[in-house]
Amino acid sequence: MEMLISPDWLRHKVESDPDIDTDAGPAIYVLESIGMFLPTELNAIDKGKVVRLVEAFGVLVRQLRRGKQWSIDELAFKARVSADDLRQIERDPHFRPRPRVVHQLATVFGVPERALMKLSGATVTRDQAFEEEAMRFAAKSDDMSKLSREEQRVLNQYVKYLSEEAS
Amino acid sequence: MGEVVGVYPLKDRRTGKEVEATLWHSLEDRHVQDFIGRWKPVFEARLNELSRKGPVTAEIAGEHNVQDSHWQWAQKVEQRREGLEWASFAVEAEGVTQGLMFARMGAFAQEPSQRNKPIVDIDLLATAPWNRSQLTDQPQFKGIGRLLLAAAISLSVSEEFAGRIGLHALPQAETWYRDVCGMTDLGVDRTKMRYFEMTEAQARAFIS
Repeated sequence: MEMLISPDWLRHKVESDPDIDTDAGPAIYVLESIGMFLPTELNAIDKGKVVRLVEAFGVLVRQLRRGKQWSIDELAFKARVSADDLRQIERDPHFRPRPRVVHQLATVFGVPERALMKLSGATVTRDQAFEEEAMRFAAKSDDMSKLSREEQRVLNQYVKYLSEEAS
Repeated sequence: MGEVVGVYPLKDRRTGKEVEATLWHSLEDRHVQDFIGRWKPVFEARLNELSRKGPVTAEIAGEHNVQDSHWQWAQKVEQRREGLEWASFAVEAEGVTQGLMFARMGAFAQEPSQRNKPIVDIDLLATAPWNRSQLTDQPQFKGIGRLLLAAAISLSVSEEFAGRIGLHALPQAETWYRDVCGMTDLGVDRTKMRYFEMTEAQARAFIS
């Protein structure tokens, strides 16, 4: 992360800022366990579950792309994301796309962003039904060059579920 | 592992001199230990002092900067369990943690001009008790809140969120975020705290 301010900027602002408190969020003294707020990698999460969801996310992106008969490069152009990111999303369930990429894909496919965030591993859900629905969708979707009628039906049904889930 | 993202000057109000502070991205264990060993006892002592004088109402706790009545602990626990993407920052000066910030990515804006766009949501921005004007007659360092807010904006830009951020201000800090930082006041929400958002244009103005 690159800081967008210089030491001089802070020096100058501090001189003119009023002397008032700046605290936001909970009153920190009541925190029972600060470890709860440590970075995700320091906290135990069910990595297997996340991988399964991300796998379904990859399948969904691939099927939506195929449904529109776009190549990866075409989708990358339309969504203004990198083709490399798309290849990894479709093939590698351990890849975690940045939230911006998920946002762009949600926009270009017209799929609810919150649901896509959960599916992509950007946010982790404890919703069992959401996970089961994702597994079911991934299992039914085969990788053929053109979507079969059945695949198209399964895809439409799943996008409908995501839309309802987000509402 | 944490990394140093910059070294910045804070003003020591007690001496009027500048002191170098290090900004860390991701907390290290010593920051947590400082919170437990140095910060928390000060807050607890102040609360005990107030308790001896009589029942501590929300108003009294608020006046003395130790309120917790507006904070939804259970809700935070739930969010943590849901594994949202967190980023943490610490400001260190004179070998001690002077400020902490926790932010999460993947939250969405509410301000009408940027509704549903992704933002960096500052879950907590806190300065050490000895730097707070409502907790001590002679607070020490000035500039920590501004530095941490600039870090949140920088994080937002690096995540390609264009500088958009959101936060719930503690009552004594509402003026700071509204009048000094130029954030949009979206009113008191279900957390019973006042929610503020910074738009892309406001972020640009803040760091200029």
